[in-house]
Amino acid sequence: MERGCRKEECTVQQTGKCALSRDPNECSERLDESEGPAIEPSSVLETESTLAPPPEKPKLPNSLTLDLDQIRSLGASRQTTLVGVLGCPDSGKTAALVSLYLLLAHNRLEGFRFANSLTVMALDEISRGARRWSEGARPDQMTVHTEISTERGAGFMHLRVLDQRDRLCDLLVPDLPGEWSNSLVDENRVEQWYFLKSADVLCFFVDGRQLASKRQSTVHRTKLLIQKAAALVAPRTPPAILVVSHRDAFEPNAAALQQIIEEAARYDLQLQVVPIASFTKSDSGVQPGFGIATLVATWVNPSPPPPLEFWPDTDNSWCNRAMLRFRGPK
Amino acid sequence: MTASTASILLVGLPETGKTNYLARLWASLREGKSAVTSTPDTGVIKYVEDAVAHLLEGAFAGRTTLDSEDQSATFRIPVRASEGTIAAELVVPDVNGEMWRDAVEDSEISHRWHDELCRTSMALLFVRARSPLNHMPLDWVVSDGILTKITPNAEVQSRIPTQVYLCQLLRFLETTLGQSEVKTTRRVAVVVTAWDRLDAQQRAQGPWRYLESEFPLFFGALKNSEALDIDAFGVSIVGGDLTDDPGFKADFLANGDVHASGYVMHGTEEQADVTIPIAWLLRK
Repeated sequence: MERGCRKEECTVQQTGKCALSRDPNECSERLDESEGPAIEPSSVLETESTLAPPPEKPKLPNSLTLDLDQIRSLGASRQTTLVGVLGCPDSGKTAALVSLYLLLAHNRLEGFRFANSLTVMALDEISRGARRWSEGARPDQMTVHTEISTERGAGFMHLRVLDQRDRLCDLLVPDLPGEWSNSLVDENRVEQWYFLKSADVLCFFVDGRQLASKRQSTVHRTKLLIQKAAALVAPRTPPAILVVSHRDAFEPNAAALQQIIEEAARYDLQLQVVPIASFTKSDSGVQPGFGIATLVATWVNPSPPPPLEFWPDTDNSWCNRAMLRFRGPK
Repeated sequence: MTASTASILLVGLPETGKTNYLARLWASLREGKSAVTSTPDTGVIKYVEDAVAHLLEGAFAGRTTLDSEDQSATFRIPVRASEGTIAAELVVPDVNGEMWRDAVEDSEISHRWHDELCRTSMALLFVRARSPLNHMPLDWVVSDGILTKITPNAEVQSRIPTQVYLCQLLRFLETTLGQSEVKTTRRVAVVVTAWDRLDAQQRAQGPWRYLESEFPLFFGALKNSEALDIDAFGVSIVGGDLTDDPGFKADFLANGDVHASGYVMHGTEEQADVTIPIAWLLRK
């Protein structure tokens, strides 16, 4: 076995070449056999890993967001309510979830109590922004902008709540970036939204500030979003909610809301309007969490969709089949 | 451990009173006058005897610093309640709370303790009343008025709330307890330690009401657990505060008897026997 060298950069032991261009047998820097252990031949070094990977520890439930497979599995084992949440960026989707979680965490949600969550760590994580402050001043943004890569599927939050009649309800609420709603409208990117086909209730979020300051464009975009969602869930017409955020800053414009309601009616969606204020300005006179209990009530007990007409009247002039024209003996 | 013997694990965040409860429990087990008894010969008992020594000198034992992976430090105390109940072994020493805290933060645990959880069918889950380590952060939804007047520590505010840790620990127990052996009922006794630190009204209302008011998320998860049989107990191991109440400490040293002190609140009933949570776990 070759002897090594005192110079770190010399590879004489592996290559037989002296870094100082000397005769390897004559070089004064070479180690004697007694000075250090011989290094394994290069062939061995190349084939063997130097460090074994650390042993993997057993995993415990992380209680982060659920993916589609997990919510399917949950839905198979118990009755769940899947809420289809849609809305442009900054329309208040995450803020409403955070407000709901924080109200439950302090037993302050009127009519409901926390019963469990499989995603408690995820809910707590998105709520950290609502615990920041700067010497008594509210942060401009209570929640971090939701980001999910387009390759990843939707992430769902789970909340099991108990209502006043001690009925349990398992809510599954996605926390999705508003950009996904924009791309649904603008680019018809429906592949991320197929879960809406199973939604028990649709929930359209509108920024109340935008509805006041940019009424026409906000109404226009919301109509388009409703149209897209309605097409996705058709022929179903699940209960639908229009959530207007920032109730502490603005009272929703009734005419604008009516336009949106009428648009939804075109697709047989009965839209219920719920104004909310997830957080509030100090001088608004509106309590933080305003409307959140009403919103949860619409998820837990959605108003039933209009009954399907069992045997609709049709123009049967096209029909000349004898059996259908038979009226019995006169 | 024999295949037919159940075991009881002590689970809890740092400084929740696991070691001190164990010390007080050990004193009762040795006396043989409680609902739960133990066989006299249990091998190496230095760990619990050291903890008892603190109580006898009028002080609570400090935090556990034992290496949770050191198997040589582990022994088991066989415990049995009345005839017809389950025989079990208390796994001692209690694991230091940092291991459970890290398990929540990292969602993983060593093979050794994962196996222990799966073999175990019963656990004592510790919560300490009025602990300075109980973290209940303020937020802009429910503490709106307060936050405009004070400036809490930003680092502290960013920590995970204690009730979220507790929910996670409960979920770990739900998903692991008794997975290797499902012969016995899977039970968790939630032990609220330092019960004497609560005011008279809170003590009278019992541990469930305390958990509901202090940790609504944890309370909800406990009450609606479908996987485990759960009950809550308020525990005061000596009946007072040896750290912050010099009068109580002086009286305890002069006139007290560690074997006769302390009590358990089960429901709204106060009982002098500190082994009651173990007796509840062992019932058939």
